Amino acid sequence: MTSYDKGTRRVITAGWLLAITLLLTLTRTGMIPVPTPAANATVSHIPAIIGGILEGPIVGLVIGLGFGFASFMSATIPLFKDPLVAVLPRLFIGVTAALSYAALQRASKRTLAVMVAIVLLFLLAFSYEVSKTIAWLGPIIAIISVAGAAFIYWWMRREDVRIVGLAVAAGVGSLTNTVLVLSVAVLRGYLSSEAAWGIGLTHGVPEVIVAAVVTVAVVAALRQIGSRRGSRL
Amino acid sequence: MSETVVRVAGLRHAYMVGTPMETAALRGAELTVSRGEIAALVGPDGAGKSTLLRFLNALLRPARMGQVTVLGSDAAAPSLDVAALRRRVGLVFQYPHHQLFERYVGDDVAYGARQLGLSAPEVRERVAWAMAAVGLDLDAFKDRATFSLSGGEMRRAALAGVLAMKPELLLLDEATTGLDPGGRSELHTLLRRLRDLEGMTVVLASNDMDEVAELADSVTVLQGGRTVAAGPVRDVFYSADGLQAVGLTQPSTVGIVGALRERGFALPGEPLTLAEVEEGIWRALPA
Amino acid sequence: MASIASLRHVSIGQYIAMGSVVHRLDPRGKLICFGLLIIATVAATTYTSNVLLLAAVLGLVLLARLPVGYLLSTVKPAVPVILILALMQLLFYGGSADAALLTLSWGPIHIVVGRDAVRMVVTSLLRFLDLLFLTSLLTNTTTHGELTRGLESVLSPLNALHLPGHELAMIGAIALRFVPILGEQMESILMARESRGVGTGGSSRWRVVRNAQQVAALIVPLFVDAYRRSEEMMLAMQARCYRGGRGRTHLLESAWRLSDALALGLTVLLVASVLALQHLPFH
Repeated sequence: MTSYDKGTRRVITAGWLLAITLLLTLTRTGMIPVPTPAANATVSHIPAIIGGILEGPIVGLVIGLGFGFASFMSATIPLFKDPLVAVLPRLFIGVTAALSYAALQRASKRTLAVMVAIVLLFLLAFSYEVSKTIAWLGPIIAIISVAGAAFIYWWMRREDVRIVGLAVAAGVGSLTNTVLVLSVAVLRGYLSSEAAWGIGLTHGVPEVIVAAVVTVAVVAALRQIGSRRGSRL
Repeated sequence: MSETVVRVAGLRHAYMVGTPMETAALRGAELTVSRGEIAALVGPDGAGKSTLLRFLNALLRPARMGQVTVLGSDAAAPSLDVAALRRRVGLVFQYPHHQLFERYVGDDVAYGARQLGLSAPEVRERVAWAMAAVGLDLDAFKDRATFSLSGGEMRRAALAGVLAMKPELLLLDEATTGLDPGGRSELHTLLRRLRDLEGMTVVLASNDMDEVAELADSVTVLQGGRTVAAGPVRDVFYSADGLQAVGLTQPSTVGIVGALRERGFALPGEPLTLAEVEEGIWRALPA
Repeated sequence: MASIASLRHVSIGQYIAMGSVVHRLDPRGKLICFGLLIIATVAATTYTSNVLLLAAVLGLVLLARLPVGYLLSTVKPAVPVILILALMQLLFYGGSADAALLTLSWGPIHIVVGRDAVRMVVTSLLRFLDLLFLTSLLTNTTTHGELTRGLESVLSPLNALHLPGHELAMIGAIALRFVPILGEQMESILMARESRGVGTGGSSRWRVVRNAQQVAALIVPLFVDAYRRSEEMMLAMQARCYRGGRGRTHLLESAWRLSDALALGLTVLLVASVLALQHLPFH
């Protein structure tokens, strides 16, 4: 790759990632039907994540803005026709992904393991608090957190730590989307807390997985990193 | 009379029905292809060749009006077993970089074969055969990143991907546009070999009349979504109405023969390929 | 998923040429008014303010000669979802406990529908209609070219503050340029994949996971293709000595007219009234 003015490269990267976002959002290809009454699980936030990871939080912010705007313009339910729900949270998708990636990029396996452990403890404490108000929710959060952490540990053994860090950053970005959008929805009175948690879990978890899978595939393809170097023949 | 592999009658189709952008693509197209022949589909741009081909492997359906029968199945019926049909019909698109979607060449070529449910060694064998047929060395190319290939290599890889499924019917949508003459003649040789040795039936959509003259057994001419002429290639190209009426140029061989006849140098029969013209000239020369 | 052939005609909103007053307004003015009205819509939480807003917006839609039926038809498929969500809002919204409007008891089931909840549902629906019409008003009366130019112009003050106003407009322009190309690409990938794999790309038994795998398998080649094209674009821009946006001029310019100033003034007035109504003693 020849050397480009970094600014130009950022503009162009933001441009084509935004184009993919628009395409996915407006044609509703970026929607995977999930059996809940609310929106579909989305894939359209992934370009914002990738933008943040590849070019930094500002580009992530811009693409997130575009995503939010497209989501708002093409929304057909009141929930997403509210700009505070559709646009504002989406600004942060790319930012959190970028920051997590930056933090994890130079992390060794041990650092990552420690960070996962800390987050896990937080989540377990949180799930305990939650179970005081909504009984069934606490154990579910706890189970998911433990399962997630266990998976990350298992995966770290077999895979390049950069890939795992990439996946985690993508997961963070996806969760930002889910958590913030649902929080604003609750604050604005569109959903009850319980409904929000229900949607959050049924959508959020698959979205995190898909975001991680796609982000890793794309970034690895673009940057030629990863343990698989050839076809599976 | 050999088995009819494809029969299309009175086919009509429009894109984006019900929107302000509705365009009619087919207005009564007809096509008949017999087993083991190379059938050409010609027509000016926008005549509906690509659309017609897409009905043959059920990418487009059901038909607004008309019948499409492919390999004995009604390809326009909603109850069609699409999976089964697509295992027997392969479609190669015009732009190879539109077709390659796997990260590594080997995986892309193997994709179709894997979808057929073959075992890993069988898949490998198919891929090896397909890549050899198109002239790509298996070991050199299987681990290359698809987007690092040159245009010609991508084209071959795309073709190999379809061949690896060993389809009975092979559809080529302007697959030679943009190829250099060497690449084109290699592809022609390959198609002839597939017809003769593997018994494949080929439908070739093309704008290139010379190519059609060299290669095809039968020709169907589309214009404005309608079939305006069809039949054995010699009949169509030497017919009285001529292709000019349809806005297509003749193959250069036919042009040469015509020009020679005008000057009183008549060649016997209806030569189509360069070889035939050459032989005809030899025969017609005074001893 | 949208039908394959329509993927290349993706746009945020169809420009419907009607030649009305609204169509002829300067895009910059329209963008500013749009922004102001959106703010008003978001801020309006009472009955009266929402009704006023909706009436005004509907009036604008009629002024723009846009077919209201067509605009509403885009929502039709989502109506069941909207109703379910509204019902859930009605039943579960935890407003102030003392303002119960309706109480139903069926043995162990005790449902309270609060006054606040009703207000919330009604205003949400009104707001939804507002925003639907507002977005139509903007996109159906302004061409893409006008929108991009207007956007760049409106963002230009950011340049003075050393914020990347021009860059943002450039990003938007590049994105709009790429969308139809990538749409075509996606269409081709889908067709090629279908031709070879019968639309199944996944290995899981669960439909959800399989759908996810299919979508993922579609997106990755799309990304790689877009990236390659962007590399070419970078070369092209550099070859033309693109160095950022300072000092760029445009071929087409739009003029600010009296009608634009009038529109802006009226919008401000409207927004102010709506906000004022919020604070009246009765709701």
